Amino acid sequence: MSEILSLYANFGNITWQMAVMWLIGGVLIYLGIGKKMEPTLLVPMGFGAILVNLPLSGAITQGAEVGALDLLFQGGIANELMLYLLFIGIGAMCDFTPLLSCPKMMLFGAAAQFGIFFTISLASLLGFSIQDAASIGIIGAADGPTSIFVGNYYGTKYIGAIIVAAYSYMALVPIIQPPVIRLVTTKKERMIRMPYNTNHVSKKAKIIFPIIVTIVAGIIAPKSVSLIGFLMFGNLIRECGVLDSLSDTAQNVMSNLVTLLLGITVASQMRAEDFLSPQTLMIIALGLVAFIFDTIGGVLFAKLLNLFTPNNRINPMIGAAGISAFPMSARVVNQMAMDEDPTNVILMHAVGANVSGQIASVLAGGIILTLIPRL
Amino acid sequence: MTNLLFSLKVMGIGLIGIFSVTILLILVMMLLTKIFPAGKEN
Repeated sequence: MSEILSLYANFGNITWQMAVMWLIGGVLIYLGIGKKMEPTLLVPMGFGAILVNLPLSGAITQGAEVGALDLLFQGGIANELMLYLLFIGIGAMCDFTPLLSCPKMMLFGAAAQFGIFFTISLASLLGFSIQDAASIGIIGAADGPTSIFVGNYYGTKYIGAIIVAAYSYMALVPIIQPPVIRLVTTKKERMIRMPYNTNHVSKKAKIIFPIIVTIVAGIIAPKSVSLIGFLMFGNLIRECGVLDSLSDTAQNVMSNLVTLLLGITVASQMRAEDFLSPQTLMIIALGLVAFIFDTIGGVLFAKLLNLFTPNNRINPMIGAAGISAFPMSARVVNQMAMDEDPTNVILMHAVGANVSGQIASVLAGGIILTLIPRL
Repeated sequence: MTNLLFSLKVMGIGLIGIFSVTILLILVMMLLTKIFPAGKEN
């Protein structure tokens, strides 16, 4: 009898903190399945949050026994392997044609990184060291791999919360951005139409573009050249026209495989004892601030440009698509334009700004890594 | 306070840096589409 009862002894090790994490995991799963919000990330993260918060969970390291998720974390995220593989896939998915046909869209990618720098200052004001503040601010890159890269580089102890915040907010872009955009734009501005000229980008230009971006970014921010290099390598595979099977594998099989493991591996950092702390909650809040100010920065920059080009007005919502969350942000912005006027399609402009955000977010990470030790 | 001032410096120089690289890349893109126009290829 006592042997049978011993099977249930572990129930006594359940804490209220674990129960809270199960609830958080359940909410993430609900958002992924019920609300169809980035299910590829939220469902594995939610499930992983439950998995690692079971008492004496073997999925995480317990004493000398190495847990499977910790093993995956060390072998895939701590050493940045998964990030590079994922960036090849993202690069292969990115079509830079809308950006090449309207290069000024790149400005919105830069403007929408404002939230990163604003949050670094705010985190510093709240008492975080400049390295931790930079790692927290980079959540605003809206780009998980870049957040992990900068956090790992500075060896921040908040890496778990940063990763979780970065991926959660990327998934929550459809909830975060619309109210912020509405707050800083008028209905009239959201109805601005933008003509789109297509089909004037040659194959040669599309092939040379990723090579030149790698060279320029690599010279200016050499510390992040691996990230931008892998992103552009993926894009070169896509555009060269002779590696279609590799491009297809990078876009589908490889990306899916990495994403599948990434979500659940990230959850290894969602242990109740580390996650439910005032600092973590502060980081989660600061991450939200970063996303909000990215959006505001992009929109206000577009409004500023409109002051100088009254005859060629830009729908300010395009500025909000300058964050790196691709393609969610472009979709959100286009949907908002169509909500105001069903015939107003600004998708291609939004995609142009959104892919430029991919480049700009990595650049921002590289610039931060380069600047902080020098200043 | 020192951290805050330092972070404001990072913000200023960082934003200038990112916009300067962006402008450089815009020029590269414009140049690329000029040197390799789609019409010629077609």
